[in-house]
Amino acid sequence: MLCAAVAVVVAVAFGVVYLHVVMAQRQFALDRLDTKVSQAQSQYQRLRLQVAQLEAPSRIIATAEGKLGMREPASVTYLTATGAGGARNSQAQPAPVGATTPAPAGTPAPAGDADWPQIKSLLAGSP
Amino acid sequence: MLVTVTFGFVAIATKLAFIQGVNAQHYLTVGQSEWTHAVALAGERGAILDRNGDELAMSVPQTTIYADPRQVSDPRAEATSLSPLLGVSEATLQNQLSADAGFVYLARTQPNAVAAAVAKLDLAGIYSLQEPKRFNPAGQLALPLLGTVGTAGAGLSGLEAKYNNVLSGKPGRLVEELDPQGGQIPGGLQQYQAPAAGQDVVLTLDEPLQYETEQTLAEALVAAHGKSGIALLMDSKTGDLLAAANLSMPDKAVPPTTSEPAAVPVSIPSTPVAGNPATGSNVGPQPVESPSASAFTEVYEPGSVNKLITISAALSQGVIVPSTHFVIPNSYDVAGTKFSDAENHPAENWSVTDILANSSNIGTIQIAQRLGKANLLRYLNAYGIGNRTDIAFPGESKGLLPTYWSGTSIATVPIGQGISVTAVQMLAAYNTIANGGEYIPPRLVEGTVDTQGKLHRLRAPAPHRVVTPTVANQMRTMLEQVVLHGTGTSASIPPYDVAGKTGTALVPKNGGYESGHYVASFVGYVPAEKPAITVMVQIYDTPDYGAAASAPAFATIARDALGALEVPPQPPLPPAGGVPLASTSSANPFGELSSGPLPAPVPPPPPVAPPATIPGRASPSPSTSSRT
Repeated sequence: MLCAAVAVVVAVAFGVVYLHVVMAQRQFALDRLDTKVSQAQSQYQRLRLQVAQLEAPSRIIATAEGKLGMREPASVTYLTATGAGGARNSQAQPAPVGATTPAPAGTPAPAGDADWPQIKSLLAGSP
Repeated sequence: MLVTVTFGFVAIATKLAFIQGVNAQHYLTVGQSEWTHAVALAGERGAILDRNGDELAMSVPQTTIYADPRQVSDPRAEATSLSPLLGVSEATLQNQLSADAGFVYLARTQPNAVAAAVAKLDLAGIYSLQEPKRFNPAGQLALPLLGTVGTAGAGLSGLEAKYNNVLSGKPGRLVEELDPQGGQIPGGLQQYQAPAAGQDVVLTLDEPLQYETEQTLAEALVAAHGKSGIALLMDSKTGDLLAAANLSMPDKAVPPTTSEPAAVPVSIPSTPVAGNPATGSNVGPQPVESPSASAFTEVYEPGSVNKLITISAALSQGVIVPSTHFVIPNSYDVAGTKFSDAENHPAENWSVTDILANSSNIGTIQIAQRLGKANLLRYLNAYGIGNRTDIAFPGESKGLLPTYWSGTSIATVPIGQGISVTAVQMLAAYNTIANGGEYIPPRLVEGTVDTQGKLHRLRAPAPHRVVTPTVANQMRTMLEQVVLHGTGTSASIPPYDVAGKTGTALVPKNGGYESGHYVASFVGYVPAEKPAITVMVQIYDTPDYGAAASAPAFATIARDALGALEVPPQPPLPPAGGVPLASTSSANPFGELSSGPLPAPVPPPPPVAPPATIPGRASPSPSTSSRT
């Protein structure tokens, strides 16, 4: 009887120790995951900054004109629909009365920015 | 022996009872203070975005290196190791590491490479933490508008300050029990209150157009030898500011403070500014971003661009019609003061269109005399002069209206003297005509994006009508004549029709005016038939006139914007009914004047006395004088 009691006590003691070991292991794992999350968030923000810097007009224009030899056009050509006649070149000319003029282009979010609202919502409240 | 042992056990038991019982709470508190750490978690500061969602300002976590000097046993050796990595002198670091404190910053917001190198040293008492740092991905683009953020993460100026509460979010808090190595004690206390990230602020600015506008203004500023300049680009229909450039020539007399970012010159292409053949070289000082958003915060006497308000008010009140003709003598007497036009001329019989196209001071004064003081002030107010815009930019001026109405005020105010305006006020006034007589409040902020990514648009201020569509149409025809045949020919952009007006005013100095130093401006909208954009260019302290200094830059900015916004030319509209076209073109292609004697600087008038007389020139105001 005494042996059984001692065995139970020893088992419980080992159990408690084991439980603490598992808790410690899990805690270390949690710490590592927290660190990874933090590092990933920081990396995302750094990459976001890098994209924004690469998209800066000064850099794009300097590259286009300085490295690629591109130049702004001297004039812009607009094509206006003239009904059955099809498209018509209206470069440097006023659009004909009654002609359909193209609607101003929309301003879609550039690639890389469209998903920011969703990502931001996922990041909200994270440690 | 037994007694001694017993006494010892009793003493130990007594002490144990005191520790575990009587003073248990005290010791627990002391112990918790050692292993319990509370950390304030800063909410991530929101970004400032342009209207396309591109970041103009954003925060990125960086590593801050700090020390617990009580754990540093050899400050000198650690300072020697850290100095080359942190870029801080050994002496400074040694002082910090020897301080009688538990926490000192060694270097804040360092790049990751530096943080990794410091961690590799594994020095005692040296730690790191993450702190956000503010970046402007496009460099100093639009910096006067965006403003600055301090080391502590709070907005100090510009929109960063105005929207600081929105951007900064709310801090969180983390309380946890840590072991001596800094790891969390398994099963220990942990309380976490998440920080609330700040919201993003979405502007109406368009980053590429802002860049193009700044480049054009920089070229114009150098070409005109001006000291500072403003260029504004507005969406005519919505009042959204698509670009707002504020540039200055570097002033060596005023060195920047160490807390301000270094002023980086705006890069100017080698192409000369059209209409300014004297240009061609960009050697020498180049413009930098102004210290503040002067389009909102600084006032100037508008000069002849103010004639739009006078003439449209007179048309609205019915005291004139566009075909009304006036005899325009070479000089004109008002309350004992002689006024003249920019150039000598024989007596002319000019229509209202001719008066505006030739920027006649005398004709405008005669119109104002029919209009009267009360009506003039009422329309100035309706056009937004004397009131801050709804943008409420930090430090925004409401302009200056005359506090004393002298006998000559009815002559000076209508031609843009004796009053001062901000550039954005005058832009909004011209945009009123572009919108058929309805004042559209200017906007700089589109809305905010919350932490869930949802855009909350700011409520647009209500527009109000200033003049009828008929009057606006009449003004449109007359402003077109200014560009076709008058002082504003260098603002033309074929095949588009431009409606606009030049302005030139003398720069105030020591209570008088400085000969040969002008505030040159041009304001207008295009296409005149179906306005898409309204543009203003102002060059401060230039020897050139508005037509030469500002109108070519207007044309460049407008042409670039029309292309970027894909605005096609419009079929021409006939002149508004009853509006005669310009019958004279005394103005030369370069503007109001190409040469001519200038008035001597005028001493400042006494505060309540009528202004002094300027022979052959419009009467002065206490601050500046108008040229056209």
